[in-house]
Amino acid sequence: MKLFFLYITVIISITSCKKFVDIDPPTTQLVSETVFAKDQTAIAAQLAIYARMEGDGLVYQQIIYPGLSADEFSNYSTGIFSIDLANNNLTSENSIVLNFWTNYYKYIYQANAVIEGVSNSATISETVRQQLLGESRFVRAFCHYYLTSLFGDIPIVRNTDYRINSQLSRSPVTTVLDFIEQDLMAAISLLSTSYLDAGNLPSTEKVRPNKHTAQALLARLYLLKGQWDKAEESASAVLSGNYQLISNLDNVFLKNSNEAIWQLQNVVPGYNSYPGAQLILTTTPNVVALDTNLVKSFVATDKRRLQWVKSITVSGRTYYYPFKYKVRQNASSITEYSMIFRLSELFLLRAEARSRLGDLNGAHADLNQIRIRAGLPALSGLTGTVLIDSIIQERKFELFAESGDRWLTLKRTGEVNNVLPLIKGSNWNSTDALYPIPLAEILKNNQLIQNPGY
Amino acid sequence: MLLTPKWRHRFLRKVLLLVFLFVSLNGLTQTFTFSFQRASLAKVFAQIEQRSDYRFLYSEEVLALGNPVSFTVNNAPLDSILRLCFYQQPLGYSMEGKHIIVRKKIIEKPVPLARELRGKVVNTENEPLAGITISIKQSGMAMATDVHGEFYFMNLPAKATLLVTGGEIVPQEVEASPNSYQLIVVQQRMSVLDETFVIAYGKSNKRSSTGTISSVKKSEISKQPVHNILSVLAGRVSGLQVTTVSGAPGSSINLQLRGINSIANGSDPMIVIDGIPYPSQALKGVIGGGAGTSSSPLNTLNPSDIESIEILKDADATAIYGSRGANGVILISTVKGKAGKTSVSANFYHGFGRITRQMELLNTRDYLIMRREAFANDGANPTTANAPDLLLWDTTRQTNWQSVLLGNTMHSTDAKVNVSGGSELTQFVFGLGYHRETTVFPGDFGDNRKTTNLNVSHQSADKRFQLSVSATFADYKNTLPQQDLVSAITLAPNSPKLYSSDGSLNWENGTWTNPLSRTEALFTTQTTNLISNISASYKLRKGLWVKFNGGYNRLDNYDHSATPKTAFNPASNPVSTAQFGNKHISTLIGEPQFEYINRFGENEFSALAGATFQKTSQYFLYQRGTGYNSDALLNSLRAASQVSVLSEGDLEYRYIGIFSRLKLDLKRKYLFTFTLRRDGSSRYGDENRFSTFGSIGAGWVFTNEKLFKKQKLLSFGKLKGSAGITGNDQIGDYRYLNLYTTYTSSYLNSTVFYPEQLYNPVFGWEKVRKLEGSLELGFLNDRLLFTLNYYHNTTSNQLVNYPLPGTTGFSAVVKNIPAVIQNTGFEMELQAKVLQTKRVTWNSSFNITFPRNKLISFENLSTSSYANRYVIGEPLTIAKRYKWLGVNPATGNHQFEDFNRDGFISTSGDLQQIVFTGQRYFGGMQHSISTGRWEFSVLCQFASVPNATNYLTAFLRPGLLMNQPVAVLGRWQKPGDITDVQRFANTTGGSNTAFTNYRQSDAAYSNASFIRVKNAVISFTVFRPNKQPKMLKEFNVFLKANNLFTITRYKGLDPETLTLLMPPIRLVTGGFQITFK
Repeated sequence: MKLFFLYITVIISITSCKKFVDIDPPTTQLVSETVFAKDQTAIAAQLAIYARMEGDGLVYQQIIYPGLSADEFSNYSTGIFSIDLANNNLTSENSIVLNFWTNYYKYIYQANAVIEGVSNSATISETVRQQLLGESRFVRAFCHYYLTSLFGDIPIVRNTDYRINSQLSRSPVTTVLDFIEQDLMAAISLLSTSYLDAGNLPSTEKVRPNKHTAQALLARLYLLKGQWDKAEESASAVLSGNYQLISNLDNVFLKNSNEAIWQLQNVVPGYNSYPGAQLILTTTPNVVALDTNLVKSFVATDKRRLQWVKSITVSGRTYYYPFKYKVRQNASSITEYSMIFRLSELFLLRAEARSRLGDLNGAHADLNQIRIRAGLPALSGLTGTVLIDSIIQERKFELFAESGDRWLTLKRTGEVNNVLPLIKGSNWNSTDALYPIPLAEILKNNQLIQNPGY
Repeated sequence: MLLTPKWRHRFLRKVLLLVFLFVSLNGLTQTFTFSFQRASLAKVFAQIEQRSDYRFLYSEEVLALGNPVSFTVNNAPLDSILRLCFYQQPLGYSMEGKHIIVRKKIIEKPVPLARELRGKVVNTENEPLAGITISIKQSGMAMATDVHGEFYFMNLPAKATLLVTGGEIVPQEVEASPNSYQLIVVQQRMSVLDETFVIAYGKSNKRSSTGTISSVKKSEISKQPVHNILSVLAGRVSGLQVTTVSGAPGSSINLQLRGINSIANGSDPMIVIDGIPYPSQALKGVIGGGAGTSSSPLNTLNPSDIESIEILKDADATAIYGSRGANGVILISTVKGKAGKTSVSANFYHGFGRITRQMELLNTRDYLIMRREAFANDGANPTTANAPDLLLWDTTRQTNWQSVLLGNTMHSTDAKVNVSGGSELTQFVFGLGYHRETTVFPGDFGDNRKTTNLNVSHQSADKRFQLSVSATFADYKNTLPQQDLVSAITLAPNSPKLYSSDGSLNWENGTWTNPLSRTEALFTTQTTNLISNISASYKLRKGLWVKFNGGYNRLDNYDHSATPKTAFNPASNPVSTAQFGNKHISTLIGEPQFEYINRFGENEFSALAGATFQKTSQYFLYQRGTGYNSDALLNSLRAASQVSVLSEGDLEYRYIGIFSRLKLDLKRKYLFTFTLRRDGSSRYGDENRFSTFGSIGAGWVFTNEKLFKKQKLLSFGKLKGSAGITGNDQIGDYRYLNLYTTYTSSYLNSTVFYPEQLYNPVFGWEKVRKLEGSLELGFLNDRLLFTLNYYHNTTSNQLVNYPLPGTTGFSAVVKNIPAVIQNTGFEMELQAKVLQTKRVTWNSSFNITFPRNKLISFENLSTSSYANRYVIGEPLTIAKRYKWLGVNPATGNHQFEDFNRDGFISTSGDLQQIVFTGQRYFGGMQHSISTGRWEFSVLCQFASVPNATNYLTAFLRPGLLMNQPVAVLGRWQKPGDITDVQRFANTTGGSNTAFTNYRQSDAAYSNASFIRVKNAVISFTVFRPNKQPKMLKEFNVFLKANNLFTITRYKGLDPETLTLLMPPIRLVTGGFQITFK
């Protein structure tokens, strides 16, 4: 009996000790509700997306890997995945490809988390809510834009619910582009025109996207969709903003340059900018070097050849590398930021849209802005495909080693199947224009169907 | 140390004689205080004469025979000092009044006799034995020990020898030590059935247990010169799969008891050291581990400090651990002090090891043929960028990279000193240990461990109060290359030389990555671990005890990875970086309990009720330093010009439980056990925090029925069974919270936060239902023991770290999935005393397990992340792969079954070939033979593994700049060739896709069954017990070996570690064990 009472006592004392297993959240982290309760922390959640993009080397990877797929870079890595990429011989196990996929979706999750967090928060200010909704929807559009550019049909991720997002099938490119358009329209209406700092006050730092950034991406989107008038209109909206081409090419990639529309601030200790740290050669390349044919195809007097391309000679062999970013590492203070959008592209974009719309004078004017700055003679009197080809050609020289523009442009114009077979030979198949859906992803979501050719 | 004066006396005088001496206080009134260091007797005598009126009489020659003496005394009487002076001298003395006469010793002076003797007989477990007969050889006087094992004699003859006999003990003769409390430790000649083993919150034995428990004792543990205590379990325990992750020192050991209960994650058994739960998982840091593996926290445990390991398997044995018992429980008990003469023992061994196998790879001639043929097949010309091996490197060089990078001899050194002893009431053990192991890599790598352990047990004179306190402390350090060098075996055989003429690493103008650069980038982990516990009990009244177990365990871990500039090609202007990780985990646990035991007649009833309160706190901080001016300062964070915090965490885990157990033993025939436990864990969200677990077990010892009493063949027979529910909470902390973490760097001068994990606020407990039936038989007086277990476990409400596609933003989430997994299996164990003659003892044991694992159901499997991994009705240990159909004779490329007949080989439809990757059966066999002074023992481990990933995990398509197994020479060369090896090609003709598919096919698996001589021992007793000098009790020399040889057909490096990591080491050690009493 005594034993029984003891037992009961123990049980009672335990049940009253339920509190023993109630623990506080860890002291080194914040729970979501706390993050989105205040303006400052909510903004910090948005800024984390940019910080991670830069920390992951997104800008750099978007330069070199599509550049290898196209005709901008030569591979010097002995890694099988780089070799396969450079030979357009990708397999679905390629980790570089997987990396693009998981990184872009990672940022999309963060953007969706901010959208949901600020939408549900009752305590943050309305201005901050508007701005953060705008930025997140822009980021979501931006990531979907690159994903569809690399992979074609892709799953559209609209929220943070893993139950839905783990079972998504691929949406056709047109649906994806419509989704991006909606996000960008919303972002344009929400975003401030000025650049903002971490306290949401106007700033000279162009490292958070503003309204013009969203317009710039929208212009790209319309060009991709072949909606020339809307592309012209969106590009003009950006060009009317407070930006200007910088005459000295050495200064274009400086932080917050007048030409910059959106840049990312360095977060890697010891780096000046991620692309600068990785691209500038000091010895035999072990990742990539600029393709010699690309270098040779510049007109000798082109300032971009003279100021944006540099070479190094090791054991009698010369290697070229992009020299848009001037500082490799260990600068005493940071002088350059990773460029994502800059004004030149908008001129070329509008030139193309205008030429397709038949506004030949306007097209020439935009094109010549870029040519003249590069020290090349102005063009005149071109028409039809000759004009368009000249603009595409100009993109190659102006935007080489930036954002994978060459690869995306070749695919957009369909030139990819004309240009690359000449360079890549029998390695080239028309199905190589799309990267494979990573095998690891298909194994975890059998709604995903592989691209043809893999 | 708590020692009674008497014991202190014995302990010090007999053991630490070489260090210092002590003399008891009695005798003459005048006392002296002296200190002598190797002083001559003449000098000592002179000092005594100076301070007293005693005078010494001796001749110079006689005194010259004496040895110098060293001692320190404080207020000691003269007779004590004289005893010290004449101790072990060839001289004797006698006293005549004030004169002390010194003579040559002729015979030992008989010690004055006392006439009384009191004592106690215990077994080796220090348990008192009643009913043992003690007789005096000389007089024939005899008596039996009482219930406390005690005895008493008066009027002993001058020289008495005690004969200790009894039905269940090995007869023994001991010299009586009169006028003392004499403890006699006897070997119980008991059947293995009666050996006690540790169970949850108590002890049991095989005869009366209703649970299924395997036990590995110290005598087995000490046979194996292992680093990690868990390695000892390989091949010894049925139902337990023990896998060495890598042969590098400090590598983790994977344990899996009775199959995979949980999909994907959390299949580790619970590890409990002296009652305290211990982390079985590696201390995972952000900065990784050495040589591609993570360091096991159990590395801090010295195997020689372990008394026994018990493996609790079925519901009956594990349900009392409730939510954590699902995967079985491993109880590790450290050594405890034993009453008896103080003994000092030392154990030392040193050994050499090499890897067991090498792969046969192409030589330079054949390699170059392959490369050139690949380019020819591609129709391409080699360039300096894609073929430095053909165009830039010396094509006449040949290096066997396996020999260069893995071919060194490793050393293993172990030393251990132990002191133990104690009185009837108080016992102690104290030990110091050192272990060091190096690697087969070129360079100075390896680990070392310094340990100390202490245990003191005490009971009050009335035996109502008992207390045992233990503490072990370990300091462990391991330095390895950050990356395993194994993967460098694929280097081209004509790769350049390792060193330039100036002694620096040769980078051959950046055309290769020098494999020795990996030996520059170091990973060092340092762990200190304190395990302390207290166990106390007080007898409230007859049969009723109140008990308390408590413990504190603290692991402090410091990780450091240094990546100096020298790990890279200097031409690439590399920068040095270093990463620093600090982590500590502390666990505090308290378990108050009541236990009630009552015997009525032949029946026994026991009840246990208790509670567990556990709190585990963890803190970690990982930092990176960059911008070093000097590689010499990579150990300093301050020397870095930039420091960033990679990760920081402060975690708390709290756990509460109440438990009870009722046991009923009716007439030693019918056995019943009931356990019940209710648990709460902070790892679950509010709604699911508590859950209940329990079990029922029953046994029938049918040989105790009358029917069996007449026959002699079957000496023991028991049928038993159990059923119950246990759980699993290996899911990590705070997984129900949506947490944001600070990013390493700031942005716009603001710290920024990113979502760290996918959260799930409502996941619930995973439960394993366990059923067990077993038959235990003993034949011919238990000379042959046979055990057959059948288990049938089902897990439902699977709680897993569910892998998610990247579209979710993460790679996994903790959630319950509606899947049911069934594990069934047979375990058979045989133990036999094959030969038992006066000259030879031969014991054998054998165990084998046939595990079966099956996915019973999985709702919506086809739309889950596991659709391509599992199949309902098949084991979890399968892989879905392409079906390889050989090489197409027309194209020379591998071809595969197009299951869905769509004309393509694609992941979505054609990964349909099911490859079973589990073990069909596994087990071990051990023979121990002792004859005279010799002892031999050999342990074999075997496993039947029809499919394991083969060398293809490390090798890419033949033709690339990478060496290949010699088998590739049988490649396809021209249309019409029938072969299994694809054409050599770098890029073209679909060869790369075909080879990627090949690596994804059933051909990437091959048979990895093996038989391994896991352990072999030869030991020789140098001194026979009756010829030794007085203090020396035991002196053995031995040779011990691990992984002596392996029989396997595996295509790759090793069937256990497979092909990507360091294979196990064949280690041969030699050493000695010496014991003084």
